[in-house]
Amino acid sequence: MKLNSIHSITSSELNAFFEENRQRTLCYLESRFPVLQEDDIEDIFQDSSITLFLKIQNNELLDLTSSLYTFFLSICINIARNKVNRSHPTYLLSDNITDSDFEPIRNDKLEELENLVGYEIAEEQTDQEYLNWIEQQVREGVRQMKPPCNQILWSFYWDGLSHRTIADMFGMKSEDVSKTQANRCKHKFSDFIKKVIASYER
Amino acid sequence: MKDNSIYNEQIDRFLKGQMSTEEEQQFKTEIGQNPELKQQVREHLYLIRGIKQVKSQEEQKIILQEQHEQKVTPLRRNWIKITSIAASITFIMVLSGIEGSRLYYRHEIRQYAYNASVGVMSDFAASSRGTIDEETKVHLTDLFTNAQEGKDLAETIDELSRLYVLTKDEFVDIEDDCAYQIGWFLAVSYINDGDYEKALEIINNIESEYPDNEDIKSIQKQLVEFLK
Repeated sequence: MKLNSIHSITSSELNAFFEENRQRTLCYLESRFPVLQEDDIEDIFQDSSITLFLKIQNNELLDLTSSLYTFFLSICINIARNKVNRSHPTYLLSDNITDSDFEPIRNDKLEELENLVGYEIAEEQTDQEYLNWIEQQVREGVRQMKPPCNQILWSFYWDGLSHRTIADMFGMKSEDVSKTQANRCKHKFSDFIKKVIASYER
Repeated sequence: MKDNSIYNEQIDRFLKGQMSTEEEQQFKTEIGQNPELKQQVREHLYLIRGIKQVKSQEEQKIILQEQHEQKVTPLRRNWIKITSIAASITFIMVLSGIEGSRLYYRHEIRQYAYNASVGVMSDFAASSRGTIDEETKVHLTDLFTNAQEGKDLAETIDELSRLYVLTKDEFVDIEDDCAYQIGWFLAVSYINDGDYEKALEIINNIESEYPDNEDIKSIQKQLVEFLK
């Protein structure tokens, strides 16, 4: 089953997911598996898309503990490894070549920090209506983020990717560029939060 | 005073478990003593929570929509299982009567309700095709969205309460699925409005009709614990 035929039967949401993540996946695979040709990389992306589609169909994603993209990337990595082992049996592929790519946020650490600083955005603000409103505004702020901020921050915090991986995926010169850009984006978000708090009218 | 980017890096290293035990202890002590760092941590956490909520919602929609379009299994079972993706991010028990913990626990209940509502909404979208007229569907979708987002709560609660009473009227023909969803979102509205007793009352009613529903049981348990 080829990707073209999948497009006609998958939902528009899943098609959009593949399109949105196509370029960064191809860049990533090229950098991690340099022995593979461009056609091979395209084939891997297509095969992975089919695999993901079938797994969703078979209800295998009901207990997903990572982001959908991280799961999809793992499929790509497995297929790429198999391809390298089959087509280049003498090529030494390190077992842990992709280990440092994934650095997920730990939920226990997140909870620990939340317990430490409290949930309210400011010390004196505990009003529930206020908190609801802040949360809504934050979600809206996240939805409206534009590239490169959404690319970097969503990759870092939701997909759990390292800055090195993000730099490779989005064609940045180095991981330091990704870190610097991430800090700028967080600073922008911090300004946004301050404006939101200031604009709240009781 | 440290540069904010240094704080950012420290916060991220802590969250990814990359600090040594000693570093973690020093960092936590500094948070307690440095209001600027504490505020930056709060903002950081808001960003992460926002990203998790938005992306979780988007991805659940992709999976649910794909499954619905393929008609692989009944959606009623699927959304119950799929909301466990979101539930795994947030659930924590009340540990003490301290206001900070209660505040945090209120947040957990609200976040669980928000995330679980994604599946209920998708189920409604699927099951209402061809069964209710378009105007009613749009009206209900708006109400459900307001309930989930905590918007215009007074009006939303009024309207959902009115509809909920109608679902109990045997002479009024409201599809079973809509009745369930009206009840669910009325409970979510009460949760967002801070009226946990009322939310529990609605949830208990729904639970008696859907005793095997895991999300109902989970939120019922959280509300019972919170109200102790």
